[in-house]
Amino acid sequence: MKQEDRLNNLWATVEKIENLTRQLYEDSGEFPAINRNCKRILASAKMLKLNLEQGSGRCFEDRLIP
Amino acid sequence: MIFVNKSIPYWNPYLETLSREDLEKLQLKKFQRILDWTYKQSKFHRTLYQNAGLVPRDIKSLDDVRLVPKVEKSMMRDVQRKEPFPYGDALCVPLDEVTEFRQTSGTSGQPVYQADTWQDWEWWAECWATLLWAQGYRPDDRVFLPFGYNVFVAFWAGHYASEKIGCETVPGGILDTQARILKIQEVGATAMMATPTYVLGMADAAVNKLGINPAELPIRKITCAGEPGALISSTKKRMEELWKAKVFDHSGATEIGAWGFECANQPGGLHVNEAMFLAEIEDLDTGQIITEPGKPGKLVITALDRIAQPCVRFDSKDIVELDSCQCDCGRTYKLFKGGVIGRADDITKVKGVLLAPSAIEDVVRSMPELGNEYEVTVSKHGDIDHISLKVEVITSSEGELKRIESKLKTELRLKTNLGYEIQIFQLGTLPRYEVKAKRFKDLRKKG
Repeated sequence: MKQEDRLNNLWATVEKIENLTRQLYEDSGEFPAINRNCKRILASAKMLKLNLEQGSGRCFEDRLIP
Repeated sequence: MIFVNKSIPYWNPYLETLSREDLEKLQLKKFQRILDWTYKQSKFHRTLYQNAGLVPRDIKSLDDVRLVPKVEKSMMRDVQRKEPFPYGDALCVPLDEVTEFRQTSGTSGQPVYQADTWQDWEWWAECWATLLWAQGYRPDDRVFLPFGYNVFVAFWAGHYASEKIGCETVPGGILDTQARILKIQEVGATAMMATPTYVLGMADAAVNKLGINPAELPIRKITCAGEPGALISSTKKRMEELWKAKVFDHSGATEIGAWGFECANQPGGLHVNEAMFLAEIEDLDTGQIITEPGKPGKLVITALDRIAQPCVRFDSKDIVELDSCQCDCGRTYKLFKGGVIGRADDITKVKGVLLAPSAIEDVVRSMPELGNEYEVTVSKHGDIDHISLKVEVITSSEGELKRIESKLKTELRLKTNLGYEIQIFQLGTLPRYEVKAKRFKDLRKKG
């Protein structure tokens, strides 16, 4: 697999993790143990994205999480 | 089970080897994003940009970046007199998003408080993980931190990065120097992080107070921060010989982040982590941006991904110089020759000659007859500048002292083009420091 394809696949997987975690975060407002751990996972997901970004194509706009 | 491939030399094989063209595209995208973020979220930054007649969409190329006003540390002190307490209106997130409080050491005035979100802290640790991996830290290392954990950021991020890499991380916290040395011996630590001053001080304590030869301890990698010594060749040599370990430099600051690192190849300079930082070098006289190697200037730096209290075109006061050579390690990141070669507020004119304190350190530490400590004082005798240098000697023979003094004067003259009054003391007389040393005093500034 070409490097770009591989990086794009990794990015897509991170987005899935991020979307799932965001859903869990929103569903867990009255459950701090889930809610705050989700916040940390979302910070880690953002870090995963920072490790894969490119000048055009793979990049994100939103800054503050979630 | 999946194991980490420990032979890969890069923490991020993609970013660390990007082509210059792709790297600059990424930097521009990130710069536009952080500028837009600060414009929207921070009253301080918005006012600064509006006063310069600038809006984020004006930045269309990396050349346009220099249109953005610089931020000085003194501006942050003013900002922090405003709400919200204690960070002021440069804060870009609601206070309840802030998870980390740190502050600058305050050596040049009122400390600046630094807010970080959990996401920012992930980023801090990531920058440190990049540098530690580049220096050869791997999951099978046992890393000791002889560091008094407190409000200063130094080595906190190193601790978290060490954990992130998967190293076994041993906090040296409130142990005293001797207890730390014994703990290194007890647990068999293979790497540690400290200021150059403390690395030398620990070796001294090991030999003279515990009768332990530090070279016989299992430490084989030392990461230095806080002072420039790890890239002053004679200081590096002294540390490496004492500990029988590789000594690496890194550079960063509370307001900026960990922006530069020496890799395992020890290229005689610092790589700039250009995927996370945009580094510009400004001519000290003209203020123009230097793009060619060989001319030192002041580092103006942007942390491209830090969001709570952003660092956009921060005047670091660090003096750096682009290296014309690429490092053999394969990273495409720029290399700063000799690392941080001085501070704009430390480099001073004495008798009309530019003097960098690091040049004096290089001479003192290159002479095996001298101890690690020294103290430089610049003063006025009438209208004439005067430099005195206090050093410690290992010998006490009168003839030998005269020879050492003469050799020291000659070496200093060759290296700095200046004459010095030398004051010689017995070993152990001058002050010892645990964190950042204060060895250079310019008394002329007080008058």
